[in-house]
Amino acid sequence: MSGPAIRFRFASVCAATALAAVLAAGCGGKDEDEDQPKSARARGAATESAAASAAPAASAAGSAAGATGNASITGKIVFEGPIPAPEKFKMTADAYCLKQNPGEVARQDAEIGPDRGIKDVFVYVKSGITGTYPPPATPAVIDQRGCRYHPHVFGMVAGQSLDILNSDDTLHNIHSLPEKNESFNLGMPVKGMKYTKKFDKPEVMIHIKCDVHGWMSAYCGVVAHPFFAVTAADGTYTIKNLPAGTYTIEAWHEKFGTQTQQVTVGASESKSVGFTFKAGA
Amino acid sequence: MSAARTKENGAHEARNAGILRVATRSVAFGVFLLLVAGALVTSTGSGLAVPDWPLSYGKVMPPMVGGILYEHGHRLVAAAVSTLVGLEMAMLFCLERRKGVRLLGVAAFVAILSQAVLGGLTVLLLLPPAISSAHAALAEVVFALTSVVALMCSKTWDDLTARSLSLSLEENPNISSRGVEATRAFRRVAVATAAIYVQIVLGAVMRHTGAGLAIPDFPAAFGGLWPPADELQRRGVGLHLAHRIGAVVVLALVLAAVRALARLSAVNPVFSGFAAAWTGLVAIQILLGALSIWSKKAPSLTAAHLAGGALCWVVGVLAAVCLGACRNLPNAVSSGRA
Repeated sequence: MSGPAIRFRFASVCAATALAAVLAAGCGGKDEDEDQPKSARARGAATESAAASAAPAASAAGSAAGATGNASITGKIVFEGPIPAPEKFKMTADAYCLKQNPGEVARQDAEIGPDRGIKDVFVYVKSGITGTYPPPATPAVIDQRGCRYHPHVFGMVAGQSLDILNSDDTLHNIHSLPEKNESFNLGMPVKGMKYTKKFDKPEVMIHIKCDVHGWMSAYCGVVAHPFFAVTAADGTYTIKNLPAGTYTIEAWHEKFGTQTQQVTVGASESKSVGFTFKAGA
Repeated sequence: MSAARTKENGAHEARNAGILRVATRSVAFGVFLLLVAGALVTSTGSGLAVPDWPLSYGKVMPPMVGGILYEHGHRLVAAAVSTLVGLEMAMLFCLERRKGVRLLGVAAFVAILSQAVLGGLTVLLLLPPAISSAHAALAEVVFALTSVVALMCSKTWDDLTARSLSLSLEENPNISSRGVEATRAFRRVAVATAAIYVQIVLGAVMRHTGAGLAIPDFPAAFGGLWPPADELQRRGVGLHLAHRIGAVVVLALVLAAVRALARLSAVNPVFSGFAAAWTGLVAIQILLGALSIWSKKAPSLTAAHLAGGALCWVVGVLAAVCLGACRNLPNAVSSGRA
């Protein structure tokens, strides 16, 4: 083949190749969430309207309304055995995060106080509740602040709105990993951004994570009623407004597993239900 | 005048062959780097660090922080390598006379475009294991296609196809009959290579379903030779076990193939090269698999394990292609003499 012929052939094939590449790149389609700033648009926003219009699980027509009462269950969740040293790391993956949290920081997966109380245990009534409970009008909130999730563990009623905030001047994605509910993965590149999502089905627990900052992890317990709590820093919790009855109480911890206990409470009665976790249980 | 033109054409051909040699090797190496970049995305859990596609957070270039460095970095490498594969195809159409090689170039380009679409889908559909695993499996095909193109444009290939294997075999008193050894080696290499591909796909499914540590110890399984029945019921344990059994099967098949390849080393040194490379790579690969478990899936080690698997696969493919090209020669000569 002569030089000019080769050049012409090369140019023709390059042009055809480039056209194919451009067509392939254009297959991505258009973002659905036009309300977000252009830089903020990301997959996941598309599911927003669908989730917002979904009917709450607790509003099934024909089922009896769930009762409330004045009984309560309180308790303390403690750790038995040598307290494991918290695993520490540096947020070097993002200069903003490192500036917010200079030096080494502890992971949030096993926070045990000096009096052995375990923080962030999700405690809820696993069985014994009858009737349906409408989701509260007030949304649950999870905030991405200081490159951490606040709160780290929280509960909500199925069908309740979840407001997702980004208070950080860096970008996060918030990625839920449910098994029964619809998953989402939202890009939140701009400080002050807010999304609202819902989990329509009860599911204990749903893992939420940021794939940009691998240390950012949260857990959400979605239940069909409002009888749940998360332990405070001293390991204590209170579940209020229960009707009289016999209940199975479950305590869930991301590292130490789950435990259940049965308890019977009378009207206006308060009972104490404590749990003791061990490492590797 | 005519002699001068012939000489000029010969110089052109030699120059074109040289260009193709360098270009195709570079593209195959680029695809390997792309595989490693993809492995780092999975190993660091950054697969969804960028939730949109084809843009990243609505931009061409987002801040390269945290997992975005791996995920967007993979996209940038993919864009560059896809362009190179496209250019390679264009060059093959212009400079390469063999239709088969051109078609391989087209296949590689189509495969890498399909790979881009699968990559996009895996992001948009939130990493469904089937699509993510298909993305990983097709990546190996792209690597094999570009490597075979590089092989067929190499001097090794010219030497191999120019030399009649059957005659070499007949000249060698250590080899029983013409073509028999080459055919046997081809079969063994093909079977071992197919087994490696199945093993890679198993590994991909295991990785994308989170079963990488479903059996947390090695070489034991839950402290024993075989997982207890109740553990086998748990999600991912069966798959993980299948990958371990697959490693043993692959090792046995590769050793058998290497033995057959080694018998051909007297005929052409390229076969002893394949045999040595394959043995070393499979040994390293098994070690990397063990290290991945012992290190609780350290990203660098799991990425190296994936890269090692890709190299084992491609060495098998290249050896099979070389043997496939050779084994027809003896038959032709044989039937001609009969």
